[in-house]
Amino acid sequence: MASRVEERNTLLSSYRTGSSGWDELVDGSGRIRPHWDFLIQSLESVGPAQLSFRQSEIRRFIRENGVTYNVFDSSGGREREWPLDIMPVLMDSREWAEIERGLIQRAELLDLILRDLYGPRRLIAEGHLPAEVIIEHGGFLRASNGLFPPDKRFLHFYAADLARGPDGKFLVISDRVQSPSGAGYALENRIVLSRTLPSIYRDSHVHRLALFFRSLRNHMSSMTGGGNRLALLTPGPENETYFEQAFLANYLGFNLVRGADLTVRDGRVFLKTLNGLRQVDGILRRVDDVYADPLELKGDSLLGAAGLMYAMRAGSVSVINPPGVAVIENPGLYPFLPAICKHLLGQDLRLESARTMWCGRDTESILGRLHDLVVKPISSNWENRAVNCRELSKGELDVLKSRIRSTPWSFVAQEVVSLSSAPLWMEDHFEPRKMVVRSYACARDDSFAVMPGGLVRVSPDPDAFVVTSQRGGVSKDLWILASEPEKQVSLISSVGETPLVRSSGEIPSSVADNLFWVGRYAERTEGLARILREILLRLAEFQRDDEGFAALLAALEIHVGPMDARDSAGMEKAATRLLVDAAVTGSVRWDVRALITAGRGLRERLSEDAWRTLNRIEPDLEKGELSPIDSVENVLLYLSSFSGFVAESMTRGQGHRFLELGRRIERTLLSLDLLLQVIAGEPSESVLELPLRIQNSYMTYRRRYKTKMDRAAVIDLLVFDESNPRSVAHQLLRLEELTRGLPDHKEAGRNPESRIARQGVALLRLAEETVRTPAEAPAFRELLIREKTYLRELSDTMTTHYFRYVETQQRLEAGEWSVTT
Amino acid sequence: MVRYHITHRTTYQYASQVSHCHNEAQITPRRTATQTPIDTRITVSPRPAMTSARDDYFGNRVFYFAVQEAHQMLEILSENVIDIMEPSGPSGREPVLPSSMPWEEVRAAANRTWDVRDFLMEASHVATGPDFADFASDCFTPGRPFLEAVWALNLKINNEIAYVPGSTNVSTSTFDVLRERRGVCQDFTHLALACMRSLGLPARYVSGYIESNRSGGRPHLQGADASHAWFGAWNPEIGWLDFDPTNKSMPYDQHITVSYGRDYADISPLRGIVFGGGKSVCRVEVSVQRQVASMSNS
Repeated sequence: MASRVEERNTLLSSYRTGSSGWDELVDGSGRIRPHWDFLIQSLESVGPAQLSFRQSEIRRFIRENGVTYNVFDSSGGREREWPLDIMPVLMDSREWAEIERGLIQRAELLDLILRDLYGPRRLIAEGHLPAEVIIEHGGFLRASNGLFPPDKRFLHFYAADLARGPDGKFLVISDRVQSPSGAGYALENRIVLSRTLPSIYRDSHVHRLALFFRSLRNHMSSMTGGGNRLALLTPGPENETYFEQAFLANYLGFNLVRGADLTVRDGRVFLKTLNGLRQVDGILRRVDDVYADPLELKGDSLLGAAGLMYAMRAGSVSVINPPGVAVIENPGLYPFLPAICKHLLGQDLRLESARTMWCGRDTESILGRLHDLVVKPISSNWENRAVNCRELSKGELDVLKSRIRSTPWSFVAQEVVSLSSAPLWMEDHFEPRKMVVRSYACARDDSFAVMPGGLVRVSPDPDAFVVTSQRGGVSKDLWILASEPEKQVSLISSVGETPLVRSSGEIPSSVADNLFWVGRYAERTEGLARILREILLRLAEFQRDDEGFAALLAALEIHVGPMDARDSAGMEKAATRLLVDAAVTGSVRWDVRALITAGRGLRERLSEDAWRTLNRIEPDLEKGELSPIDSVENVLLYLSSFSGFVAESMTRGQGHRFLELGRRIERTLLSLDLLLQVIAGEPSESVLELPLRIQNSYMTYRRRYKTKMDRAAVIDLLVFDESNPRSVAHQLLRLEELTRGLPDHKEAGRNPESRIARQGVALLRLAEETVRTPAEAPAFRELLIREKTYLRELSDTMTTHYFRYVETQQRLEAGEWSVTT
Repeated sequence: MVRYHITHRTTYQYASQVSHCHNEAQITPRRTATQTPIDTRITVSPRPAMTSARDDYFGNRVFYFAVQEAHQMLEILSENVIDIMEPSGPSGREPVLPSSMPWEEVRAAANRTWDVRDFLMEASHVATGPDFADFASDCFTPGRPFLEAVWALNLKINNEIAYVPGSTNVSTSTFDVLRERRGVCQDFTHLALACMRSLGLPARYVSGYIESNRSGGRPHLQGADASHAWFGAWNPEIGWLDFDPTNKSMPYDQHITVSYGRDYADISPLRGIVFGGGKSVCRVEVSVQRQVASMSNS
C-alpha cells in the first residue's frame, strides 16, 4: 500500500510539492505513487550518507570520462561537466506505452507533412496550413524542394520535448529534428547510473536503451542498401554537445567526421583517409540544416560538404535527417496539427502540443490577452527567443505588440506550460524541481521506434519557467519500468546479426593529424615537467650552483622562450608558474590543454582509461593542494600511465603509428635542443649531470660509469647508444622503422619520410667516432643542428603528405554585377 | 515572332590551381507564355566529371557540374536558340494599359493567394519598410488602377535613379540605392521589388538578356550584351506582367527571360564552391543576335 511521504523516512521528510502542478513522485494527497515504491524503499535502506557518496562518485566518474557540455557565456565558452542527478525519473510501462504511441504517430505525421511541403504542397494549396507559416519560416529550404519523390521518407530521426501538465497529461513543447542532441547523453546517463546503483537498477526491471540504438544503426544501414560505411557529421569540438557526438559515433561504430574530412566526387561522398578516398554510404548529421552544403545552402559554411545535396539527389548517400526538416521545428504548426492529423492519417492527434495560437489570425484578439501568454517566433534563433509577457513592463509589452502587428504571421502566443516536478538530490535530502523530458524516435521499416527512456532535464532553480542545459539545468535518467526483466543487448555483442563497422581500418586524415599532435604534446609536457622537477629538487636541497641553474634556465627556454629569473627565489616562482599558469604559452598546464584539445577530436580512438588519465591532470594542478614538486611528480605519473594505456590498449594500426611518430619526433627534437643548450660547449661536471637526469638516463650512467662524469661518456649514452631507449640514436631507429610502414601516398612517390629518417640514422653513425671529444665541440654542434634539420623536414613532409587534407574553400560568384550590367 | 541566338560565356582565371569545384549555373532560358527554347546547350571546360540538371523551386533550370581535374581556368559557355512572341498585352515604351482594379484590391487578393507569398517577402537583396512605401506613395495614390500605378513606379525609378555602371555591387542594399539614387539594372529592379512588397504587392525578380544596337532605328537599350534584370508584377486578373525600369519600358520582343526569383540571390547565373585557386578574375561576354527571318522554320 502506498504511504504518505511524511509518515516515513528521512530522505523525503522535507519533500514538499506546492499546491499546483503534477509531481512525478507523489500524488495530490501526498502519497508516493506505487511505481516508485521499490526505488524509494531501496534508497531508504542505502541512506543519505551513502547516497551523497554515490552522487560524488557520479561526479567523479563523469569528470574522469570527460563527459562535458560546452556552455557559451560572456567568458567566451567553456567546458562544463555534465550534471547528472542520482535520482532517476520513473514511469510505468502502461503509461509509457501511451506516450510511445503518441510519439510514433507524431513522427509519422511530421514526416508526411515534410514530404508534402517539399513536394506538392497540397496542405497549403488546400488550406490546411496557412502559406505564411511555411513560406516565411527560416527553416523552409527551397533547395530541398523535390529532393525526394513524395513516397520517400523525409524524417528519420525525431526528438520531442515533453512537459506534463497538472492533469497528468504530457504535451509536446517542442519538436526537434535538425540535429537532435541528447540521445547520447541519455545513454551515458544510463551507463553511469547503472554503475552507481547496480543492484537497484537490476531489480527495478528497467527497459534497456541498446535496442533503440541498434534500430538506428540498422535503419541507416538498410537505407543505404546494406551499406555500412556510416559517419556521424559533427560541427567539431567547439560544438556544445561534441562529447556526445564522439560518444555516439563510437558506440554506433560510425566514423566521426567533420565537413573538411568529406569530399564529393562523381556525385558520391567520400571520406579523406590516409589511404585515399573511401566512400560514405550514410551520414548521421549533427550539423544544422543550412550548414550541410555550401553550394546550395549557406555559401560560407565550412561545416558541410559542397555537392552533398546533389549526392543525395543522386541517391548515392543517405543523410539523416535531410536538410530542410527544420521547417517543422515550428510552433506555428501546432494549431493546425490536430486537423492535419485527421486529414492525413484519419486519426485524432494522440500527443497534443502546448496550447498555441498563431498570431497570423485573430491578431488583435490575441494581442488583447497577451499579458499572460508566452510569445515565440515561429523560427527560433539566438536573437529571437520565447518571451514570457508576464515578465515584461507595460512599455516592453507595447514594443512587442507593435512587432507582432508588423509581421503577425511570424509569431505564436502560447499559454504558459505547466511543468511537473521530480525529486532532485540536494546533498542530504530531495526537493521537487520542474522537469522536461526529451524523447527520441527513429525510423524503423515503415514506422518509428521509440527510445524506451530519454533525457530528463530539471531546473536547479525552484521557480524556473524554462529548463535548458545552456541555462544550467541538471540531467536525470528516465527509467521505464518493465513488468519483467529484459535481456541485455549491446551493440558490441551483436556481431552475429549485424556486421560491425570497423572504422579503425580507415583513418581520416584529420584523425591522423590529431594523433600526431597528441604524441607531440604528451612528449613536450613530459619534457618540461622533467626540467621543472630538476629545478625544484635542486632548490629543495639548497644546491647553490649558478652554472647549473643557468643551464636549467637555458633548458626551460626551449619550452617557453626567454626567461628572466636570475636568482633562486625567482627560479622557484618561475618554476611554479610554468607548472600551473595556463596563460603562459608552453607551460605544463598550457601543454596539457593543447594535448586535450588535440585529443578531443579523437576521443573515440583513445581508450577510456587513457582519456581519464589525461582529464585528471588539470584539476589536480588547479586545486593546488600538492607542493610544486609533488605536483610535478604527479603530472609525470599521469603522463606515464597515459603512455602505458596507449601502448597497452591502442590497436597497432596507422593511428598508433602517427601518435608514436609525433612522440618520437618531439622527443628527438627536445633532446637535440637540450644537448645544444647544455653540453655542446665545454660544461662542468654538475652541468653534465643535467641532461642525464632530464632524459631519465642518470641511473644507467651511474651503473656503467660509477661516479665519474665524463663528457664523452654522457654524449655516448644520450646520443649514440642505440640500446638506450632515451638516446637520439634509438629515436632515429624507431622513426626509421615507423616511417617504413606509412601508407603510400599518390603524390609523394616512394615514402620520402622513410628516406629522411634513414639519412638521419646514417649521419649519426657516420659521426659517431669523430665528434665525441671536447676538441670536436664545433663538429658535435654541427651534427646536432643537422639532425634537427632532418627532424623538422620529416615533420613538414608528413604534414604535407598526410595532413594537408583541408584545402581552402572559396565561393565563386558570377562576378560583381557591375560586369554584367 | 523573333528567333534569337544567344551566347553567354563566363571565364574564370585563377591565380593558382583549383583542385576541384562544384557549381550551379542558371543560364538556360526557361519556357514562358511568350518564349520557347528551341535549342539550349552548356559547354564547360575543362570537361566536368559530373553534370546534372534540375528544376528549382521557382521552376528555373539549374545546371550542376563538378570539375575534378586540376585547372587554372574555367569556362562556361551557354548557347541558346530562343523564339520570342510579341506579347498580346501592354508592351514597349508607351504601353497601352488595359483597365485594372485598384491596387488596394490586388493587395487584398494577394493575401488570399498562397503561391505568390514568396514574392511578398523580404529577401537578402530586398528590404521592405516605410522608406520604400513612401518613395512609391505618389505612384500608388488611393484607388489608382494597379497597372497605371506600377507603370508610374517604373517611370519614377527610371527618372530618379541615375544609371551609373560600376557604382554598385552585389552587397549594395536597397537602402543604399534609395539614398545614393544611382545604380544599375539589378539595383533598379531590387528597388522596384522593395517598393512593391512594402505596399503588400507581389513582385518578382526576372533575369535575362536583352537585344541591343539593332539597326533599323530602334533605340539603344541599356544592359545590352550583358545579363539584364527587370521585374514582374502580379495581379489576379492577368497574372504576371513584366516591367523594365532601366529602360522605361514593358518588354516587347527584345527581352529574353532566363529565371524568376525573389531577388538576385535566387537566380545568380553562376555559383560555385572552389577548392584552392586563390584570387580569381571573372569575365562575362554576352551576345544576343536576331536571326534573319528567312532562315526561320516558322
